[in-house]
Amino acid sequence: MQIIFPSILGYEVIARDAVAALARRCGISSERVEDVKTALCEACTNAIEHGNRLDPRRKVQVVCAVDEQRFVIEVRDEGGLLPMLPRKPIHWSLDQRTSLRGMGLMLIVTLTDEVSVVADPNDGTRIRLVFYRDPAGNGASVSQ
Amino acid sequence: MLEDELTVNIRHRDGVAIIDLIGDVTTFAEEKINGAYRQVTARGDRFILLNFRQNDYINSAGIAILIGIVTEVNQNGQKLAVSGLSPHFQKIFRMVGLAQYAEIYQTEEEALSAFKRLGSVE
Repeated sequence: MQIIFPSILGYEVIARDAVAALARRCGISSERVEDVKTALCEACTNAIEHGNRLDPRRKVQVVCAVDEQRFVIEVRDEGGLLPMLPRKPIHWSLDQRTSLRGMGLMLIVTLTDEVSVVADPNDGTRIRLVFYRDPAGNGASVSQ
Repeated sequence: MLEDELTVNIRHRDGVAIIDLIGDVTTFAEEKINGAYRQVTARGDRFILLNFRQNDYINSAGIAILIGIVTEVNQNGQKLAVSGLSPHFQKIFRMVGLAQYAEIYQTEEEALSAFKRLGSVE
């Protein structure tokens, strides 16, 4: 599934609702879907505000991929900035977590099972959020 | 900008200023939330409850606004609590450290009982 929207705050909610619907259909628990929603909104807000600098002509792209084990969401912008991901909670006491952007990234790191980010000045920034699916495998199989 | 989806109401019960936050708490909520806090502070209220309702979306920008309120509450010698949050947002509040500065209660009634023990009703 792929969603493309302009860099206008508020559109992240539309992407969130679509991705949450997909996650539920994949059998992801309602509690985990809430984590997906929050992490996705933070990634989209970063893309809108920092990557695309609130320029509505620049697009944010959300791409979802689902396999047996994982629910993966990639959020792409046209900026090419590389955000510094905070480390896992065990390291927080050593980190400065005062900035707003830092808090959003901290939420992403905490709520996802895996996160990675790549940036290319010509190709934008891509942040990849990975959620492990229910190991019991209760979810329905969904084609993308 | 898409539609602003937060409604803020101020009520008073048992010596507590209750600020209802109905809807999304994001960057667009700043003026409304800070305005409500200034209003109850100007009135001299010491016990403040942020009562969350129908909050499908609270993001880091919204949390930053609440952290600002917590800071002022501490400076002004007031007591702050929150109620009505979904289990998910209770978790988020604990994660970012807000729970260290504002007690979290499931319901408005629970929060009012706790405030009563602190002396909200003279």
